[in-house]
Amino acid sequence: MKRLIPCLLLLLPAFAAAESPWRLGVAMGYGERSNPLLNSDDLPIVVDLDIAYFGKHFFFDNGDVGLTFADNDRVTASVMARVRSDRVFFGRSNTRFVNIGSTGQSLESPTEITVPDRDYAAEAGVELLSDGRWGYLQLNAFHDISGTHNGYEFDLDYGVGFRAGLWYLRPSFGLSYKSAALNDYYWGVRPSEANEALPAYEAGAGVNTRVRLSANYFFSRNWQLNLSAEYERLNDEAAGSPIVTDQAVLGYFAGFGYRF
Amino acid sequence: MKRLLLSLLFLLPLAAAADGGAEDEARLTVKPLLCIVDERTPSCNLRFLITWWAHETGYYCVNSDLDSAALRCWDEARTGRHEDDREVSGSFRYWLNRGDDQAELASATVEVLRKDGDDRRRRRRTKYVWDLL
Repeated sequence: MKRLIPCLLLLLPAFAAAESPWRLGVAMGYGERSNPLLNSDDLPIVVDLDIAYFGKHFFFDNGDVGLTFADNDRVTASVMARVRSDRVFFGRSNTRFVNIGSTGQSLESPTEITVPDRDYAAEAGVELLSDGRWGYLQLNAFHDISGTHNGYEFDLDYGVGFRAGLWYLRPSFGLSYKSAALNDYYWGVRPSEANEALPAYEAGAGVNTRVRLSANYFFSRNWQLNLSAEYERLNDEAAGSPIVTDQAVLGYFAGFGYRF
Repeated sequence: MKRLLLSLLFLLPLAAAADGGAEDEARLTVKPLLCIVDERTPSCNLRFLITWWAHETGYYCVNSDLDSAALRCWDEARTGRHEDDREVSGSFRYWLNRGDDQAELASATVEVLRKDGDDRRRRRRTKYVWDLL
């Protein structure tokens, strides 16, 4: 990755041509996404790279890979593969020792509470995109193909863009149905991971909801100010886990972006 | 890696400025230079402020790609200012010449940035934890 980015930057003049299948951009600023896990640090975001390629059928979009098999006036349909990134939350957790158990009882000796480790998952699925004067709609269905969580997810996003001078505002909201297997893999606590301070927990299926507002101010075709804020509410099954302390996941970013 | 990206970002405006400095017989500035459109708002109604400056006093005209005749001409002038109300849905240029002489002395391009191209996939959202844009 570190070698790929400088190489791409050196090829910028070729990418700048009109109708280029490439979309390259970088935004620098500061943002955070809150971490809902117990004893965990929020995720700082200082650089957002946008690396995408859209061919007639094949496309790559910042880690998502797709093959478009239908594209008409109403809908674009693709088969997709992606990596589930929820594991990032689990990489920023800390160990803590407590004297009080999960039910409020006093413990004989300090007991370790550690958020269990979880893996990235490779997923495959289908995606439908549609748009019009009414806005845009994105529907996804993904299933684990890596044997990590063996679950699936249905996802819906609706958004609409508004121009106001050189500002472009894009409010959107979304729903994600997460199967019990998916929810339980990330947010459950196995009996083998439980102790007096961290009880075992089995998460069922649930629906996350989210809203987002992004605002871009364009200084030129290339330079822009990027502002974004997102609120996601974890489903009750995930939020009920003993390793989760916040049902809300908040994110924001403010910075300057350059689109090549 | 971060240093490389920062260096490139800071060098880009300098490169653009150096390119624009090549035209020194006359200068033309236009404000604004950008219009954003999408399917809901396919055009911009803008008032363009066009100002120009030349080394030598003479006969000068401001033209645009969208008009067959000059927008306005000045005689025995070195500077000029003109306002042009226009509905814009595509990129075009304003340029300065010496009337009958079609050689361009200076030009400025008004760019139209489409937020919804033909390819829907360019507007799709990825769902990575670090994706906030």
